[in-house]
Amino acid sequence: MTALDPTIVAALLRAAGLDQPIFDPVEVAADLAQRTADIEGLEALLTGRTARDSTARSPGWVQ
Amino acid sequence: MTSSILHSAHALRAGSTTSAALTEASLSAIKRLDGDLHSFVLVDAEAALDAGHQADRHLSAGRDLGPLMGMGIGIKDIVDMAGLPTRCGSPAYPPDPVARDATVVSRLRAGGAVIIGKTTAHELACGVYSAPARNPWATDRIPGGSSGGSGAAVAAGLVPVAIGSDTGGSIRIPASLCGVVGLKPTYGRVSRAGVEPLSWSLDHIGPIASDVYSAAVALGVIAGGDDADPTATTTFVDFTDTLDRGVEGARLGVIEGEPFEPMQPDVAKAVNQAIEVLASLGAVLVRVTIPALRHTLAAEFGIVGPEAAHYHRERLRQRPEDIDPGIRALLVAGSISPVGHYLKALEARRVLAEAIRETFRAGEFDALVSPTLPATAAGLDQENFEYDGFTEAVTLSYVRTTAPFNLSGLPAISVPCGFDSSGLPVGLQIAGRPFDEATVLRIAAAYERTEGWTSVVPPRHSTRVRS
Repeated sequence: MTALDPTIVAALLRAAGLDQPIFDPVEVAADLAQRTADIEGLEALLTGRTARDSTARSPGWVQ
Repeated sequence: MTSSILHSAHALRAGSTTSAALTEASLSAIKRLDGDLHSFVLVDAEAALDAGHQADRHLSAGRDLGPLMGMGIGIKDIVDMAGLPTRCGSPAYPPDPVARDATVVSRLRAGGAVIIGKTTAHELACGVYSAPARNPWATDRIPGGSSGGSGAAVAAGLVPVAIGSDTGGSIRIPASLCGVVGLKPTYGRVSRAGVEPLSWSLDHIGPIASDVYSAAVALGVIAGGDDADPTATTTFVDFTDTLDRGVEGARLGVIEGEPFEPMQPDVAKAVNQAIEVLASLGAVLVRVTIPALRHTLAAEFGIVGPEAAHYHRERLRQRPEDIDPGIRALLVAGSISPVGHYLKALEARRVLAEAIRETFRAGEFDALVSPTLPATAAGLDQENFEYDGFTEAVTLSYVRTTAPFNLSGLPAISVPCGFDSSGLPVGLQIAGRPFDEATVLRIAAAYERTEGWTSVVPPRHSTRVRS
């Protein structure tokens, strides 16, 4: 789990309009590292699969 | 059949009570008990009494608006009610009244329901504590969330039904922790128009109720198509029609393994006993695992973060200090994470939904059963659970067993199935095929009739009577 460089995080925060002091780039970088690791863990589920439309949202099943 | 709604509906039509009397009893109970429970953030007594008298006038004139007519209802404070503010448990929301009712509120009013007020929500509907609301079974415990006020209000008998929302378990978590029934319908069964979103592709609206019949009745009133919400379907179903048909021959998949384990031993004991009861009633049980579901939390939060961040982007920029630090961190991450992370979580959702579907297909199951939650109600300031050496945050612990059915969009109910050694309620989760709430309700009703846990009420903080 590698944290992003806080200077890059600071730039991302600025771009998102979140450049107030309450958003600490060092803290945000550490938090993002954990969340990124969680998402990267999904590779184990997705490798080798070809989702036809990953954004589709219908609970109905074609029987 | 034991049901608070059914009992009151008969009494109303027999002339042995009035809606105004039921409303006054509800308001009186709130005055007496809610100082400890904080389940309501706003009670509109005048409007409620007006609605009660109106229901009585309709009945006197022979106009029967349906099974919720004259019944008191609580509305989670993320759902718009004309003339009242929607605060979402957050200081970042304005105190100004909103102009229009949410569709679900309009439907309840059209059905003659008496709306008592707005119930406490966890901030931005994003959490399981719902402070300052307390659990009627033990006021040093949380009621769950994010629809915690709705769960506490129903458990305390302040209202027979309250409306909740469920993005990762927020109807079923408080239902389980407060010992009442909570039904998350199929995605698209109930309109979300006029409800503040947390994550639009995972949000569901549904009832928390004192018993299965009351939940079925409430769903029947609020379900249906809506031009204001293109995801809402128009199929009409009477969800009470098949409640008494039992479970003889029903095929149930009993889910084991991750993410339903680990769990507290008392929860395992209560749920296993409940499953044995279903078997004794004629259900066919098959033990199953769905290994893909170990990725539930990553997919759930990988979707909630970006969607919530997008919806709350102006609030986050302009009033960040008014947002809880934990929620703020989620929103910030959702604001600046690569879009590829979001797409990966959406893709994972699809795979997880297909894994559940394949489980239903391979086992020819009518429903899947599991513990609703791996643990009973946490303390007010408790951060973690310990499971035989494994430490897990309270929020993650609760969400890992409920979120699979947000990701798949399938209907899922929590029905009380006993207590732990401290006297705290345990819930059994029953999940069904898409738009098959009727089967989920039928199985829950069969179990409820046999075991009767829904008629056991909190000893001190409740006006409900044991039937």
